[in-house]
Amino acid sequence: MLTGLLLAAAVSASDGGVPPAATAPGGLIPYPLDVRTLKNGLRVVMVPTGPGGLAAYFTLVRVGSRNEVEEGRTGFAHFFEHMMFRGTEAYPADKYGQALQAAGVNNNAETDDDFTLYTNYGPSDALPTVIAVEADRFQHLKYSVEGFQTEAKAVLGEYNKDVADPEFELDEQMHKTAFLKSTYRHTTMGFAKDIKRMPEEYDYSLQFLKRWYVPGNTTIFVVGDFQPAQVFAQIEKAYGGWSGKLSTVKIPKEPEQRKKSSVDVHWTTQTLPRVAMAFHAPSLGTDLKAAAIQNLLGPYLLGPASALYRSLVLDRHLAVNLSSWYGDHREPYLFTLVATAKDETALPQIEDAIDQAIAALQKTGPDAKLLADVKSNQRYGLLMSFETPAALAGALAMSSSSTGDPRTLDQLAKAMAAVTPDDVQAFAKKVLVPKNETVVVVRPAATVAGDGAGKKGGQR
Amino acid sequence: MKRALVALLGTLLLPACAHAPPSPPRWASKMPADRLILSSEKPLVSFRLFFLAGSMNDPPGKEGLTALTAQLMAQGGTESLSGAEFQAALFPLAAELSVEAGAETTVFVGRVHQDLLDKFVPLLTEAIAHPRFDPKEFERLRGDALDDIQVRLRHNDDEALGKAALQALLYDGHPFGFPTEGTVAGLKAITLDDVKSQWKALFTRDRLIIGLIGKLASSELAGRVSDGLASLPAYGAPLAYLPEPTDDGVKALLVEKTTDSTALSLGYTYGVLRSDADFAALWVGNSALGEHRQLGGTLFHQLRELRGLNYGDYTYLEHFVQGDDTYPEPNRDRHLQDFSVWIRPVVNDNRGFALRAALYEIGKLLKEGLTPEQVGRSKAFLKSYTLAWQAADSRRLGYSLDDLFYGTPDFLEGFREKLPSITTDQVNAALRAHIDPRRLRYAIVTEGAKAFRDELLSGKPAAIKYDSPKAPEVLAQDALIDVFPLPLEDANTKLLSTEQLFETRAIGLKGAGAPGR
Repeated sequence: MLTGLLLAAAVSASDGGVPPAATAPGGLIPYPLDVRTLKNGLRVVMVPTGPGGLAAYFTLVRVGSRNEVEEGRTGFAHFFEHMMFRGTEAYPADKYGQALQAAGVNNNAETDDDFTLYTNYGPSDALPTVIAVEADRFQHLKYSVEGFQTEAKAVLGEYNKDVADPEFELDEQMHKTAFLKSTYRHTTMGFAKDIKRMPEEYDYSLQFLKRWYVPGNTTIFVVGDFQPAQVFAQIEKAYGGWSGKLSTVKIPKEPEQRKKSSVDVHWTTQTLPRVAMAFHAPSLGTDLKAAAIQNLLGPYLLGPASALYRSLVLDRHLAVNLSSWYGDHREPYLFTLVATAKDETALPQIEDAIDQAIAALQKTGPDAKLLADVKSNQRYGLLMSFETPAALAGALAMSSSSTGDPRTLDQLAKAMAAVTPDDVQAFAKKVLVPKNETVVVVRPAATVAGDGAGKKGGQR
Repeated sequence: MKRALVALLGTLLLPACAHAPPSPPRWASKMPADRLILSSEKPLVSFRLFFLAGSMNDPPGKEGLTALTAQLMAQGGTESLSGAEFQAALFPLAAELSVEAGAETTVFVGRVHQDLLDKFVPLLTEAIAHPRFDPKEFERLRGDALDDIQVRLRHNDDEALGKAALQALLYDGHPFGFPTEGTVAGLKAITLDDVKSQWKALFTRDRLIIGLIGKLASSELAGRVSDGLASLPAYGAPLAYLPEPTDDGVKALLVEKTTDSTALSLGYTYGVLRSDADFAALWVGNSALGEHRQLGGTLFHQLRELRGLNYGDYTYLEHFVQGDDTYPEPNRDRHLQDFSVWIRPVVNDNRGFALRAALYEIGKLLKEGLTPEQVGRSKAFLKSYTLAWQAADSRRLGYSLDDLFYGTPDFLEGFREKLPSITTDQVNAALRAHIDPRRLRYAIVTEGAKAFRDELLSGKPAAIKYDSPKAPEVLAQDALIDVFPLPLEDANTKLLSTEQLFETRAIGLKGAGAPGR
């Protein structure tokens, strides 16, 4: 599953519509965004970035593990992403791969909690081919039961490659513990038991396609060296006949947490101990300002210039590294602080130090100089992240997945610049409190005595 | 096998192949250039300070010394700034400063927005020319390197473990046989004085190319960097020769590890370099066989798409390090290369089948040869796909530095120009000349390694079973794969625990007449 450092936040925004609504430069993104919507609801965001001979063609579908409300069908959005490579009558799987191969296109996809993103990146003159094969598979996907069942095994293979990593276990346990009702309770890969029974779900997969793979739930991002008028005309022609009605799904609302919860996991083998402290927090999809604050607060508390990094990593050698994550999400999510400890005895000291830093922040507010440095770091970090068409397309698509607005990234950057020390203090007081907190600890097997020895707490 | 070449500038004359006379140096005694400045329209400046020094220069018993020295330079502070102060100075710039520690090269990679260039340059040059060598940072970074080997590599990343085990198998006792980060015993033996000596011996001006790219990259900027590094010694330690790896006779190394799935990495050393005349044709063929992380390769199609065995299956002509995206990382240069096959984890029940299927499919492709249509697609793919490798400035600079290392000016551009004239016959001839599944050696990370070895030695068919129907032609091939003979016998297999890997430079495969039981 993906986690993001920089996220955007925002308000739901209206579609660009035809004629094009261009965002003038002046924000953080140094190019205008040309946003148009087809009659069937498919949105197209075009960002010409000048010469270079390359173009990114990314298709965002706002469906992810968030949408998996049905018991026993966790991980389905990700599995379905795999099925999108199984072909159509015009382009069976091998022909699809061969067409993109002959065009020199780097073709892939990824799924996250709120979205599935299909990525094509290659020479600009491959765009007509890309548009043709992508329009074809989004409208005419057709796969056999056998192909479906074979692919389910490849998904299990992907899960198996992930589970050797304790970070994956930490992620699974955190979601399962912090969320009781929300579909964020499971990771994007899904629960192992559900992955194992995926081969039986052929009929459900057809329903899934009909529900979510519709033009009104999809945005195409074209970024790079191309002529917008020409590319838009090709897209309009290729996708014009696509129809479908977006389903609605009731995402279970997460009840308010009443007390701190925690879980200890015993890893199967040696590993460095880890502690993750997560707090329920508003997300990019629900509160732009809160999202902006979280983008700054993670590096403020644990970044390489922070007091905790200096103390825990550099001076005392208690932690090997510190990190924070806040993925942009549609629904309220988590603000998470993670430490990898040198050994198990360091864990309580690390937790104490983080608690104290939070208490000080709540009491006296942030250090103004460090907060300014964090803002500079985030601003220039973002600017440097747009170096290639593929990088910019990815950043725009992912940030917009939470809000539905392709301009979210710029809005977030502005909101981050406007965050004040008081905002940070108020957020810390409200959100970073014990009754809102979940702590997951992963311990190495060797040091676990007695009944838990060598057993993992998670699914296997 | 071709003679294994290379002479590089280095600290020591490696004794490992004292019997072989040193080959003529590929490098002249001086670097081919001392700076490389590329222009770009981007508002960023990317730096690559490329040193001809790597883990091949680690003294025996001090494996990891070069990489640790470089990490201490990049992270540990300068004469005027403590490690914490140094990090705090870089932070508001959002500047990147990292080390790519290779076997023959060490590259300090920097990247900064041009607005902040003037603040970054002195930090970069002071880190290289005036490192603090703080004892506490030395201990911290050594501890990180040890954790990375003892904990992450041995226990928390099966795919990386499989690849590292393959290197140990192919190069046991050779300077390429251990992770560039070092070995457990080597890292523990290193002192801060060793680090200071290595810095003086290797990070010298005669081994350095200053690489720059960006709108503000200029000879004036290169001059500023050069001035900042002026206090580095002009000359370093004398030449070190890279010995030829010897075949120890071990065909399969099985590593015991608690795991639900089996990681397989296969490979053999060979004399192929990108400067070879038939490399372009070979590359076209390899892309059709197993292009990294793409749908178009034969292995991917057969193992994953048709059979659902795993997540992916790929082949490599050069030592491959994956970065943040799917393109090969530049500056992982080596004068000695290996051909390798990466079979991503398969469930343990299918491990015997997956191993045989990979060997069978490679052999089949070589025997039948690629069709003109396949070759055409592969050529068209590479012509365009390689453009994206150079889209990010730092990568473009990196590939140009590779060209200096290999003596292949404008390698990628030249390759693309050459593509139209490459024929199907040339591709098939290059594949048959250099790719041979019978030469592949297997690194296998699995649970129940001994039982698996016994199963492989017994010659018992793999007997693949699927949960779902498969096409008759797939099942017909499976019947052949199930009984595909493996050239394994008791004497050429070896069992090890993860704890036995990466402990020292040699893991004891030499003369392994009797398998470890």
